[in-house]
Amino acid sequence: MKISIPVDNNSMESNVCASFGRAPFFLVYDTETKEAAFVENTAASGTGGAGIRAAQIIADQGVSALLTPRCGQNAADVFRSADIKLYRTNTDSLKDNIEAFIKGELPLLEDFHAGFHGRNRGM
Amino acid sequence: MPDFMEETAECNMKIAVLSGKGGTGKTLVSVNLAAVAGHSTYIDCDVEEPNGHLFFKPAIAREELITVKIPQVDEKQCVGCRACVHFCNYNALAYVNNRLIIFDDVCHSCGGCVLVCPESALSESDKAIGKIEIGVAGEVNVYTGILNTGEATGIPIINRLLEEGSAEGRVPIFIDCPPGSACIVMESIKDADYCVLVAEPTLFGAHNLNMVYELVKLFDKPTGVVLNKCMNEKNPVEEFCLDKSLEILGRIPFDHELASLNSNAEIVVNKNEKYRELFSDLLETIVDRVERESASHEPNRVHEATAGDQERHRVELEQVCGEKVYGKVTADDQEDHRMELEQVCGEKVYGKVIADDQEGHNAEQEKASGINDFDEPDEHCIEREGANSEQGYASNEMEGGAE
Repeated sequence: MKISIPVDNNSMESNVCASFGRAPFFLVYDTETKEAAFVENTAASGTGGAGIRAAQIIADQGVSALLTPRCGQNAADVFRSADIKLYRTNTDSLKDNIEAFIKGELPLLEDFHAGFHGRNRGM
Repeated sequence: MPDFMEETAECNMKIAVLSGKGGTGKTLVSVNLAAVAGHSTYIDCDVEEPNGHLFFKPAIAREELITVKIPQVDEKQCVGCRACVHFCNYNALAYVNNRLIIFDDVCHSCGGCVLVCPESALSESDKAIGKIEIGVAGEVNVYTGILNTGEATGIPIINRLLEEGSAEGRVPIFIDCPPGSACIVMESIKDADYCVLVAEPTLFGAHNLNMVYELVKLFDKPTGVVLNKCMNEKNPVEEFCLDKSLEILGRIPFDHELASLNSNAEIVVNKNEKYRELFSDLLETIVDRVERESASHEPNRVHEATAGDQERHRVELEQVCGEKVYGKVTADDQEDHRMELEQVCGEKVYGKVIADDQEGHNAEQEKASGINDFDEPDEHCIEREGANSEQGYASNEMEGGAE
């Protein structure tokens, strides 16, 4: 099963990134083959709608699950359409979260923040 | 309508009232100025929280829904090429599971996705973002913009408001702007003839005033400041105005009765003669400044002169007076040249004196007198040298042009 996690650096020693849409990289990890690849998040520097674009990038990787500390409503809409399940990470460590996910210890992420989505004044 | 307004009915009188933060008194100032002006227009551009109508309580004559265009997809036509997804700078579209998803809230209504779709699968549909209300309260036409909660931008509403509010030409027009200095404020002031900045007598007041000051400077708008909630103590805003050479148009006292009336959505000029006098004086000052600005094409602009500006003015002035100008060019220099030019041509000269004016007047003078007054240009030049003379300049021109 392929999963993805937003990360601060493109290394397995990296921490989970606190942001989803603005994370610099995404780890794409195959839980069966242990194969790991880092995908650059080209949405991170965008002016708006980063969550939507980031979700598009993840969806295009053909993953089945995203492990993330938080997620905005628009990105969550993309994931729902793409049948990608969201799980909430429980520590900063990338490796610990992968292990916890494999053991079935991570809860589903079900509350999404509204985000700004261009609603900040004067846009 | 006060007496001093009568002669000005024809000229452009769009007066924007701004402040760097909410609650400084923009609505107090603009509502009461409109009320004291009588025959006038009040436009509430604070579309996120319009409240001028609470004071005027206008009878609503007309409402208009304001819509923006957003894309919609015909799924039968869409082949999943993603041209639209890649085009959108705001990432308002995504394509997953063989389906296009459109995020209306993120869309900025540019229409680009519809243009780039090779299959013509996208079309535009209207989405309401708010409305404008046009009403009447006595002699004041009241225009109110209302943005629906959660919408990205009120700019389409403001554009429509300003268009409608200006169409009837019921001047003066008072534009009650949104607080701050963002895009929505820029849209509100872009056609204004004059900007009134309202500020509170606090450090925050001075800081926020600086933000709007920077904005009007950017737009090169003539501007003045109204100090609100004034008390008999040190006012950091006064210092700011002094520092930036900003004119203080008027002072509204920190006054319990005024605050209480205003909090009860009363128009204070209708409740107490002393407030009518206060706002009447303020209106008179503002009208005078706007007239001065429209009479002169060189407004008393708020930007500090840069070295580049100085150089430009020097070149212009040299063209006018036909001789080298040294040192700093000041407004007084312009004034001197205007007076000289008036003497030469025997009529009032308005606006900035430019080289073309000189040329035009020379031609007129020649026609009227039938002779070339300057047939000995060299002598004239020598005679007038150093006197900064318009005739000297005219002679120089003749030297090159008449033969």
